[in-house]
Amino acid sequence: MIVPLHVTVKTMPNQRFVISFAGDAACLVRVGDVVVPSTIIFEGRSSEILQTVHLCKELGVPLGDVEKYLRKTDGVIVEEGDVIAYRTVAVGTVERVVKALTDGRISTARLDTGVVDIRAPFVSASIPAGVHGRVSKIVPERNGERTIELSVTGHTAAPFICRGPDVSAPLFMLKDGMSLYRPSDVPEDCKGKIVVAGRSLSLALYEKLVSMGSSGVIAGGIPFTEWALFDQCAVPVFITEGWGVIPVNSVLMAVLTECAGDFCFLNCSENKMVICPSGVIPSPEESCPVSLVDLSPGQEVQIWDMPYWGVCGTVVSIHEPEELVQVLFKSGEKVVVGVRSIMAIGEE
Amino acid sequence: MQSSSLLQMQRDSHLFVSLTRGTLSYLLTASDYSSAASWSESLSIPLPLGFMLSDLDDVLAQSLPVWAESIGWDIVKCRNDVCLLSLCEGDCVGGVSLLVSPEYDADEFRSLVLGVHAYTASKEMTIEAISRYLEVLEKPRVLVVDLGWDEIAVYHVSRGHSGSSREGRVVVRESCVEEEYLRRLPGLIKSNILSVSLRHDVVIDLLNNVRARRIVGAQSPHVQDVLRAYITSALINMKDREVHTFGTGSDRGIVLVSGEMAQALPEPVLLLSVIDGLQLRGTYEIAVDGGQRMPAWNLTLTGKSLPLSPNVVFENTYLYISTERGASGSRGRLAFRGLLAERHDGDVSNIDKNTVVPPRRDPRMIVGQCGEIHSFSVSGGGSVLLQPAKSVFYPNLERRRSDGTEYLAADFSTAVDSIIIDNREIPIRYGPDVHTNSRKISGWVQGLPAKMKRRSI
Repeated sequence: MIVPLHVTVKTMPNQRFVISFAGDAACLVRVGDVVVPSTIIFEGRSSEILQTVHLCKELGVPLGDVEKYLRKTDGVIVEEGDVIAYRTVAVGTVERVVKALTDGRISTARLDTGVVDIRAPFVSASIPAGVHGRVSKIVPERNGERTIELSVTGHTAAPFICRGPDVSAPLFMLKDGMSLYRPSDVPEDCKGKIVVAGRSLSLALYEKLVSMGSSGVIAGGIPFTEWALFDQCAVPVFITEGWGVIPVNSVLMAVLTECAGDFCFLNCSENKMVICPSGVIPSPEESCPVSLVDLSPGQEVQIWDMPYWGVCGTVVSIHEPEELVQVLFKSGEKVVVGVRSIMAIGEE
Repeated sequence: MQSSSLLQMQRDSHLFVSLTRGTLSYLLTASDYSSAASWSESLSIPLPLGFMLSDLDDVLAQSLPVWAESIGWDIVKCRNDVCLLSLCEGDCVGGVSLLVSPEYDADEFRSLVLGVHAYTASKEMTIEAISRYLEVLEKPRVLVVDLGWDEIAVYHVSRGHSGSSREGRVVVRESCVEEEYLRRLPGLIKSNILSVSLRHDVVIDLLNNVRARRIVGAQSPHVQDVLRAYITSALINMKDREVHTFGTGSDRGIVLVSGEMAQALPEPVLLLSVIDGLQLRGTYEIAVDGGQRMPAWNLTLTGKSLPLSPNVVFENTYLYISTERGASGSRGRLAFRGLLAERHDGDVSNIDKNTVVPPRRDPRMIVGQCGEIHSFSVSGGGSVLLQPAKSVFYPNLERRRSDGTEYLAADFSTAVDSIIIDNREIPIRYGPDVHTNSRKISGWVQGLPAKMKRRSI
């Protein structure tokens, strides 16, 4: 019995991996240098984000109008309670006031995505590469940000949809990364990390992750009705499977779990994610995107039929005449599904 | 699958590879002149998101050998990881065509694995092929329903007899539901057309997933029902009078259902969605292309490749007869008694055309109930004779007297596999809620013929 095979994770050489440094920094490597995870690539002064304010939502205005309601300019020092933005509506009868929740320095670098940050004072910082690779490009400073491009060998995965700026940061699993999570499940230590946020990303969960300073979000599904509200993503969103509540496929999930803490590059402009394990991985061969497999017991499959939409399991037995396949889920549950509703998944 | 007649092919076999957005389909047709039989094998593969034409040879190299082995055909030779289609006489494939849909922009694209240039059918070429359906199928009118994931098109083909068209000229009228509307449609589906209980946001997510994944089959009642409601809702807004009056004229036409969505649904569910979506009543034949073979057929009709018979494209053909508005009787009462007079009892697929087929001696007696759909499998052609109950009427059937009793009669050809008699009250009413629909729709679907579709994944 043959079914399509979808390779959901591919290990590929020569992948672009971008590391950025926001602040006043010196670059310590040159084009062509080989780097290892401990190689320091930037050294200088940086300031971390203390608070992120989504002004479009807080003020209820479109993206283009945010700037005219802003009461603080870039670089100004604010104290807790200071007004950052202010808007009156309904002929002055209603006021919308956005205040600073902490002391810090205003940064409008991300104003084009409707976001204003409050940053901490500058501190000395040195940024290690975090991955194995070769420096392929050093981008001149732009908007107070230095960027280095590395060529790496990494695990790559394509998204169902991806939106937002390109970001690299360590991977962080929200609990086990496989369930449905609420904003209250978000811990404080997700700051500066790409969070694997389970089987569905609601707007409330996303906003909580943004406010906690997460660098990116990976999830299995996202409600179609809420996607339009992710208009301009200040923090990139990488959805792996589809609309609604769908777990991340088991092959990719295994890689994400194994590489938790390692660096990941969410590259929405090229529609892929690159995960770089801290250990060296052997150079792989080029492979094709899809093929067929003759199904056999033990094969990892993903079901595309209700009520198991997107759920992964292992083939237990095959019933050729009826074109049915028995699949065992990780939970121990066994189900019988039609062969036309399953797709083999694998890693190359 | 063995078909009822030999393909009109000069060579032994032909492989059609068609690439539409998101789906790759294989259709291998073959004739064995020594045993006077023809076969076809088909397969559809959903392609991954982000698939590009440049990936096609990789996909072909990996999938063709697996498929060829599974159907027992030695058609691909691989050496040093390079796989090429092997064209030869005898048991090997005799010819190959690669059809690529226009969105891939396949001008000058040549597949190294297949060794042929891609053929892209423009809209004009598709319409030219469709205009030839009248003579090929020998019908006065043809209605083609192409259920694509991105666009639904309905073509009405007839001999011109109005406006500026000359008498006898073939006229193709096209109506379509555009991509933008289909994209918004999942949000517009109301629960009063569904027969499964699902939250509205789940319906929206499910339909958008089904469209994005371009599924080739669904077993669960949830997916089947939501997709049925989606197709019905998409078609119901078509305001073409020619389409709505298709089955009510004196000249009996045929409805051909094809497209990517057609292979995702079981045939009874698909038939219900098209019949109710287009509100087709009266008497007509209806046939389903459940394996995406229509593009290959269009190609052969425009003379670009070897001829492909309609019976390879449309596995099952049905004769549909419905009651008339205001003449459907009271629900639950007897709608008709009747007779099925078949010319031959049994399978005639292997009988030569010149052989005299013995008539079936005893006509079968059939009965039907108001408010229900009934289907009766037939073979070998013949006539259906209906004696409607009081207040029930079937339009455009011929009045005929047999053994002193007057019947409403319709003849059917050897191509017809089942007679569908639809006694539902017209206009058809869905709702008002899911529970009512659950009872009604499952009854209607069970009344439609449940033929096994051709094997494909």
